[in-house]
Amino acid sequence: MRKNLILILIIIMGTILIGCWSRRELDTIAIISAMGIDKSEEEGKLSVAFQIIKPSELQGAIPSGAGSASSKGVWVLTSTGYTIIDAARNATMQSDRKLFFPQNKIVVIGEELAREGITPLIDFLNRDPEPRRTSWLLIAKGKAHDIISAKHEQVNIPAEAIENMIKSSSATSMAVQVNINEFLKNLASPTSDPIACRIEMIQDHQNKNQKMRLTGASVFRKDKLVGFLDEHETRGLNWILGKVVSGIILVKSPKDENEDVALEIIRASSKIIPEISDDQIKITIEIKEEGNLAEQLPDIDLTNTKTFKELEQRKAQVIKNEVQSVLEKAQKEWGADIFGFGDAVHRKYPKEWKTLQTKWRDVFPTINVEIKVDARLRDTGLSSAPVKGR
Amino acid sequence: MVLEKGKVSSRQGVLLLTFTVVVSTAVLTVPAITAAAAGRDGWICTLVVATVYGLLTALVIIKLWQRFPNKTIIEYSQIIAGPLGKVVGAAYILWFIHINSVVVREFGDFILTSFMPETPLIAFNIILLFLGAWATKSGLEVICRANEFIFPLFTLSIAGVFLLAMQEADFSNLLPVMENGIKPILRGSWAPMAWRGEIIVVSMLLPYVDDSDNVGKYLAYSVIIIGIILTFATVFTTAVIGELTKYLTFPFFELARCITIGRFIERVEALVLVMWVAGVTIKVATFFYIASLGTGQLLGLSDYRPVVLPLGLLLGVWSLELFESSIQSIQWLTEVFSFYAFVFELGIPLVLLIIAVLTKKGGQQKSG
Repeated sequence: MRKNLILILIIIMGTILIGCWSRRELDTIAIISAMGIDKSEEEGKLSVAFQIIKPSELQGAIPSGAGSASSKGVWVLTSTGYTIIDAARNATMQSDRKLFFPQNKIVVIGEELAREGITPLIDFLNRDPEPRRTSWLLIAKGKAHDIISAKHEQVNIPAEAIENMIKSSSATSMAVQVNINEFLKNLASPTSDPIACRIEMIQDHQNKNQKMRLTGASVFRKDKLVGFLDEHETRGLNWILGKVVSGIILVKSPKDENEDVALEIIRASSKIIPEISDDQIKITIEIKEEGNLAEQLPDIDLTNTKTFKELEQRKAQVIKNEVQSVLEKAQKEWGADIFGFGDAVHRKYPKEWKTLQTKWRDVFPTINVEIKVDARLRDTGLSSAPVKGR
Repeated sequence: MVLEKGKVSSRQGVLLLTFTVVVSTAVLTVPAITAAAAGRDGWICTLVVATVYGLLTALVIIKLWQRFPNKTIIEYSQIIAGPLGKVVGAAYILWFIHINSVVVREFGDFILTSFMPETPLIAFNIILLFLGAWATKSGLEVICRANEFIFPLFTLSIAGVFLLAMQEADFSNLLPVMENGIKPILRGSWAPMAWRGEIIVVSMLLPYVDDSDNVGKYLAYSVIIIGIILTFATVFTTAVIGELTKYLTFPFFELARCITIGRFIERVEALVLVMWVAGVTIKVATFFYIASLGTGQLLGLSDYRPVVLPLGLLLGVWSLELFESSIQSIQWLTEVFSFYAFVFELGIPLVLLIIAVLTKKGGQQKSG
């Protein structure tokens, strides 16, 4: 009986405790919330900044006013190495815990490094089971380290602030939302070129602090950074990709050319329609937009149908200009197909594509693109005309 | 001599068991293999070509079984081919053991690469084989009932991943259809065909099914349902991961990792682990069981249970020594397994059936 009991115990323990083999207790791991990769001053080395969450600082700390700014919920650890994992392991020589990647939300890569190609950096994030492919990928204009070590007034963990900034960028549609998975998908596509988020430190005039700000998008050709899009160009890109969710379009008032009228985007969609005739590729971008009157500065009554029509036309022109500006840069300056034109042609003309595929890089800049914008105004909001003072 | 005294219903033994046996490993590895050969057309391989092949295999198995309703493939191959039948039987047993050790290896490899990199492979293999041996000793009824319990867990985890991944899917990734003609599709079909053909395990179980009227129907259902599930897997991986699919070792796992809904439904890859552990346990137990039963029948033993322990040791050692690395195992699954499986799944049974028809062997009991 005793013998049997021991045998059963061994069997049960054996099956259950196997699961504890690779266990890692919470107090033995350093949870990373963001990482930034730059070139190191040493030749051929990478310098990686890890933003590590300090659990003790977060305990019961309800971010309230002044308190949150002074206490910092993270520790920034910088480490160098020839590859990312090399740097991560070297970091254990400064940290009392082993780095833990699954909670990582943000990957920032410095501009200088990104220009040399980021395939070698991304591989670790794609191969290792720890980092998640849903982490956001950002390119810092300047150094990635500055972004990682920047504070944020509202939250203790700056990585969370960056994530929220990216997620809420749909309110303006002037930034892109790209995670590692999205980036790799475009990189793996035979024709499309990837994009990534863009972030930089900007000067705050009031208290001379530097602040993080999303400032558009970064454009790649294959895996090499070729340039940046500013905020309006980024919205142009989003118009083409059909990723505009909301935002404000400023147009000049039809009644007074010096005054602005703000129009809110309620919904938008787009279609990319390729056409091949006589070996000439033509691409038509059809953009449909619907919005309403959000704010007007001059005290002019804009509510009659004629001015509404005029406003619609002006709005369409603004959208067209934004699209035109990004097309210009991507086609002429960089030759980077960030719009998925290649995929669109591929889907509609699989036969012609076979010959086009190899020379797509040469063909892409010469494509004739037509932009059709159908912009509508629906309503005026809750007031028909601004309140006039006498 | 009847080595297995238990009886199972055809729903348990044919429909549910084959489903778990095939889908458990296929869902994780097949999308990558079809994507490598056929790109975005992988779903045609799993939906059309492999289903046709599966139905053909099912037809051959059923035809043979109707001629020898109380015999397993090990037994009737001896009646049909005489002394050569013993060789065929031995080859089948070896094949069952080999496939099983590959499955055991896959099981450990997947958990190792994606969840617990520091644990030695042998730990997973021993635990899995221990469960397999236990189930085998308990007999067919227990395996089938365990599967009935696991089945909802297994299917719900897979369905959960599909449902949650819906939001990330971009189905235009599937266009254009059949861009490079039929050839890449046929090349990509070998792997899903080989997996579908694993329904051959029922040729060892059919004598113990008590409602024989439904067998044909359920086997066909099983082939079709497996086809639909695997097609979902290929369609969703292509739609969510796109061109990247062929670069990944376990696309279905990546599919689960990509899921983020709102702020709270994230990291659902544990679902994949649930599915994997539940499904593979049944698969290993089934193959373990038929290998033991077959050995018992081939050697004319009065009970198959004494061979369970030696077979278990063999499986354990083989699964560890089979491949040097996970690269080799993937390579083997892509390049060798399909053709190797084809011989045993359709090749030999078809030859046996033709000989049986020509020599008019079997079938008398049925009419009488």
